[in-house]
Amino acid sequence: MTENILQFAAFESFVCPTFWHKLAELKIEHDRLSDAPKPISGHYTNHKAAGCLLEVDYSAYNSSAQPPKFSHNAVGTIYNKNTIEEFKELDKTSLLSAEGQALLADMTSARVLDNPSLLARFFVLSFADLKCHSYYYWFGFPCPLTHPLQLQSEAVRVKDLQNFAAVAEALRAVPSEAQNFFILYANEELESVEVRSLSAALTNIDNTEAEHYYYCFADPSEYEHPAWLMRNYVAFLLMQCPTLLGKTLKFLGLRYDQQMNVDNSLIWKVVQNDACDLTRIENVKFVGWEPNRNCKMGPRMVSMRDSMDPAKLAENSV
Amino acid sequence: MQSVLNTVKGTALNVAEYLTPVLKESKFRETGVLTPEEYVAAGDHLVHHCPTWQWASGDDTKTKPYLPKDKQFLITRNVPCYRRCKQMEYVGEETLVEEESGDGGWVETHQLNDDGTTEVEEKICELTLDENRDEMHTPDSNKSAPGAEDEEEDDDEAIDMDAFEESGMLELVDPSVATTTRKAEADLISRQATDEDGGGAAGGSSDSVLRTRTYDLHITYDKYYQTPRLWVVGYDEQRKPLTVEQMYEDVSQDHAKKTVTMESHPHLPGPNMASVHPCRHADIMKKIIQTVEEGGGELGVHLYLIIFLKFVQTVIPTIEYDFTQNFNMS
Repeated sequence: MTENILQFAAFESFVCPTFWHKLAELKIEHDRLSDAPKPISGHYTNHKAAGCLLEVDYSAYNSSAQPPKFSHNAVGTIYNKNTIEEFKELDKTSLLSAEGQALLADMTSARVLDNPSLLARFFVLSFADLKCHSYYYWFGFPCPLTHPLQLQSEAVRVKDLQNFAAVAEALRAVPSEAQNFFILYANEELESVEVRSLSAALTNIDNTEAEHYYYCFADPSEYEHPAWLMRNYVAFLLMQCPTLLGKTLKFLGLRYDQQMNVDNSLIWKVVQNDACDLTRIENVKFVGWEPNRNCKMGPRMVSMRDSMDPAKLAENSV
Repeated sequence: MQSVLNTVKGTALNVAEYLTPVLKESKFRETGVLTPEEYVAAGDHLVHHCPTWQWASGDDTKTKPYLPKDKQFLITRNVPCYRRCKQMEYVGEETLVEEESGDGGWVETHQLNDDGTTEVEEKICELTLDENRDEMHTPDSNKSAPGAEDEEEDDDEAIDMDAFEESGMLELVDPSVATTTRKAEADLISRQATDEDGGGAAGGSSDSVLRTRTYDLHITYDKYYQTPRLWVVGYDEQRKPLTVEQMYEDVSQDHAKKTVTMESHPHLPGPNMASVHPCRHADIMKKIIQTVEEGGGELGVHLYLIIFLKFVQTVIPTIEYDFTQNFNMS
């Protein structure tokens, strides 16, 4: 039974040192004692993806996100606590629920249709020990806990499709800022292939056309499994278009290789038979805390002493 | 000592940069320097022709008013660096080949073996792998040890990360999470296994996989020298930032700590970064312009960065950025 369900590759956080440097700077010069949550942005790439990474760096705190080339924007929040006790004692389950409910609220409103990157969601709970240059952090990638998806067959590579040439051409034509989530209409009989935005395809969905839809997303996973963010994508689609329940849905994880070819992008055919009422927000459970390096449920710690401690810096500078 | 001088000089130059007015008129032809507008034009040309380069806006608080908000500096990420500069310099065996006529021999730097491969290259591979193996056993990269970072610091009290673990959260059964092992880690595990079994017998299948360092390159506009300036940030195979010493391994030994210095990046927060010092850029550029003009040609200012990258390559010869653009000297 478990062999036939679709599993997702969990996101792994990757923090550039500049993220901590900027956090320290903001904490000292700007935030001071305020520990109000702040919006940040991250990014993930589907170009030569390694693992299934979500990266943050100094630019996370910029007012407008400008993800690096071949990368896509992820929307996040940082909860930077003032003391280690607060960090420790915070109710992790309710923080995850609160984040998840905010995600669901975005899904129900039209916000996701306008800005699909809201589906690539993360948050960071952190404590900056500015004296010791130690940073405690815990990433979460909130996602509603829904029934598993039934996988209809093994994942298929895009290059094995009959109409691969046309599909590849259409995929290449998608502008990079729209590549994170979009829909590909590929009708083999009519030999018609075209790319649509989520809002164009999903408002008043046409069920006969929907049979030919590929639900595409930029897939940062290097594994056979699709990346974590597809989970939110599925939940959003079923919420937006309940008629898709019980139908076979084709998801296309767009992956580029070194030569910028889409050949190895994967397609999963899945069915969701069990309805899950995500509108009754208070009953929904959420998952998504990132396990630490020991695969336990706990935070991570990084020491930035080498690049922050003035004593160390003076030592190394001569 | 040289680096101290550079630091002092760097601080003084920061003050000088603040006081230097922004260059308004083009002096490219006479002196080889650039105005910010010319820098943006040359940058646009580079981004258009070399798709790995892109504009970045940098840290919001460090935005320079003389450059467009979204075009503060240029960046290309994850440029591979397959071997260390030291190896390039020391590994090659030079053979003096005597010419039969006797007037002056020549030096053969690459000796081909019978099977057509060069001995030199094989040595390089061996060296790289040995080094990787060493690096992988450093406590820092050992992911199974929690808090390994602070082990070497005796003055820190040991932090028990286990105390932070939450127990109740795993009770939620979630069958949709895949258990994944990253390819890099899988390789590492299999490599360790072969090391243990074979007792150091070389030839495990994973040994043919060469792991490479990667570099991010930045080109900023240096207001004081009025030229572009190249910055490099290195990462090891696990995407951990390289230390200064490691980074110097990739710099031509003639240039380390002299031409390549550690300074603070004008658009980024954080520690000092390695950069190619721009004090000679304008002179070199002027010479190139003169050479081209003597040949009757004309060098457009939009080609500046493409030429610039060609001459900074001599400083950091191991970084292989894809470079297909040519320009005509005549």
